[in-house]
Amino acid sequence: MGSVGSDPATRHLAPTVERSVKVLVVGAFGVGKTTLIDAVSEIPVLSTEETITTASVGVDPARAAKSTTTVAMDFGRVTVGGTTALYLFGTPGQRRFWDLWAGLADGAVGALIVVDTRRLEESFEVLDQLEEHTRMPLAVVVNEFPDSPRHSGDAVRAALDLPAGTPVVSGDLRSRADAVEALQVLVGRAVELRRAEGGAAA
Amino acid sequence: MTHASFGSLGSQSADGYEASTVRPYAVTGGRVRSALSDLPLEALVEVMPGAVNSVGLTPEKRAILQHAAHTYVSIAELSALLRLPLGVVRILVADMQEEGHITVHTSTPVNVHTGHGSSHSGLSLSVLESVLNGISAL
Repeated sequence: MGSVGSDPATRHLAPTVERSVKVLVVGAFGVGKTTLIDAVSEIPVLSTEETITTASVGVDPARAAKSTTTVAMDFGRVTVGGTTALYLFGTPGQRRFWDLWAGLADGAVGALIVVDTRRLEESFEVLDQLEEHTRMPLAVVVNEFPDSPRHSGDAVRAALDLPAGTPVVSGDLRSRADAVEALQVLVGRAVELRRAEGGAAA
Repeated sequence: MTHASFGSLGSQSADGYEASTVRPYAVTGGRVRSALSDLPLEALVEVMPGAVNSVGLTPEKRAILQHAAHTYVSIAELSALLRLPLGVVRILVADMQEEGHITVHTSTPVNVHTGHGSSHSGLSLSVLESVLNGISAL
């Protein structure tokens, strides 16, 4: 992970930027979320922290037994089409961080789920979270490690019990082209779902 | 995780802004919520003309004005660069908006809570299409 960029040309947003959007990059610990963000980002990956109160979701905060946790999130940014800053937020997948996730998910284009086929079962908790709490557009990207078994998209989709139509791509997430392709597939999915909603959208 | 903790003495951003040794939420007067504290992390802060010359601002608010003086800066980047938790930056930014020092740009409605089960991101089809076109050109 790089330090805060020293080149003002890339650290600051271009003056043409007029809006921002975000995608979430989710997945089990160590699966390659930050690798993907770093491959796409025009700035060195930054880290931010939030203090969250766990075990008090849906409970009167004054009465609940609270414990506070600091959660670190890596993020990056890429300017697309000259006018839009696209932020990629790497989000820890564990259930206890859901409180943090909820606010993050609001307004997101969608979630890119990074999986490692050598330990697919570690992705189940993340998928459970997504399915229980959001109906965000989803796409799966299989991070292909040299010793990963190769599976078809259908096999991965079946193993993860993904909603029908969820795109599955695979690639080496250190490669910018592969990481960009994964992002493109997710946003393409979001466009497709939004079109299908037609005029009924809020 | 090995991330530096907030308030560690002498930690600095590239701009030389020295992280405070004050407990994070002390700079918000102890508040953890405000009317606009649900601002999204990607929301962009724009400094209003003349705001940089304001007097009587806290060091944290001055630092926000300095970082956003020339181009828009997101709440997430302010948090990372100033080494303040996201919640603190959201409150400071909301305060500064009420004080007229800054404007905040979001692509989605703020303070509209549709519940976590919503499938609507609030982003229009035209915004999504323009993002897709932009990514395809990367």
